[in-house]
Amino acid sequence: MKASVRILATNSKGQVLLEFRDSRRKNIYDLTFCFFGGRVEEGEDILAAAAREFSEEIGIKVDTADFTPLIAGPAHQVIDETVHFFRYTKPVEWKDIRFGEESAGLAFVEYADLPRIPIGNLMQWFLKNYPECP
Amino acid sequence: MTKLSINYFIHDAEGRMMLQMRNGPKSNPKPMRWGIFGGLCEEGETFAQTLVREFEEELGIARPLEAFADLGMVEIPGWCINLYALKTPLEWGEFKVLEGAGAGFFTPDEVDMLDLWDNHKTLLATYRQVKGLV
Repeated sequence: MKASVRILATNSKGQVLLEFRDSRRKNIYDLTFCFFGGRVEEGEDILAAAAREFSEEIGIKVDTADFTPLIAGPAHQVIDETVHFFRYTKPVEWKDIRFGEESAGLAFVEYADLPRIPIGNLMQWFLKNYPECP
Repeated sequence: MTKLSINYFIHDAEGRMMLQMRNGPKSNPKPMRWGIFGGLCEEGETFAQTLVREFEEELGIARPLEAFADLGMVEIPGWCINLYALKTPLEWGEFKVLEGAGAGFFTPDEVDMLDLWDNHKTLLATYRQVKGLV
């Protein structure tokens, strides 16, 4: 089964870093907020994929030791794949980010506000498992 | 009393409109929505002074008044708003997001699909009418 990774990162105030998807992909995640992440390449270690995707998308140098595994599950309804969630344990601030522009935009949002903004089923599933920020 | 404020439109080189994800009151059922950059005039301040001040406060870079096209005034019940447009494109990496929860660049179709603040829908409609005339 294919796999992908999503990374929960926060700034020093505890606000969650999210990407806002543009409408190019024409799928259910268009114009919704999501954690940064992406596909695990063939033969790639899942933790290494998390570090690579996160580093590519927000333009910061990261160490795999700074990623803690959270839940994983077949939560994706677009294609059949397992999504592995990780917690990036170092704070990320605006000044650190060099946005790779694979999405329309990004934002820092209070964890408690996540159910009140447009998010996809993947994020909803994550929030059911983690009512509080892990 | 009528509130005085300014809003300014920004685009990237591909013509996508830059929007701010605004912080809303905690009590609001939709606390965070995309909107147009701008802010309230302080006492005794002209529209032009508010524009230059807000631009720097929100994006961390200074632009002189001449960098903007003056699109004129819009009256909405309770509000008197002067609209401006930055004449040159802006790209990720050139600015910092110092106010609001986030930022993004959107195609006209995407802008229409977003849940903008009501007043901002009016401002957007006005902008689309006048931008060809300035």
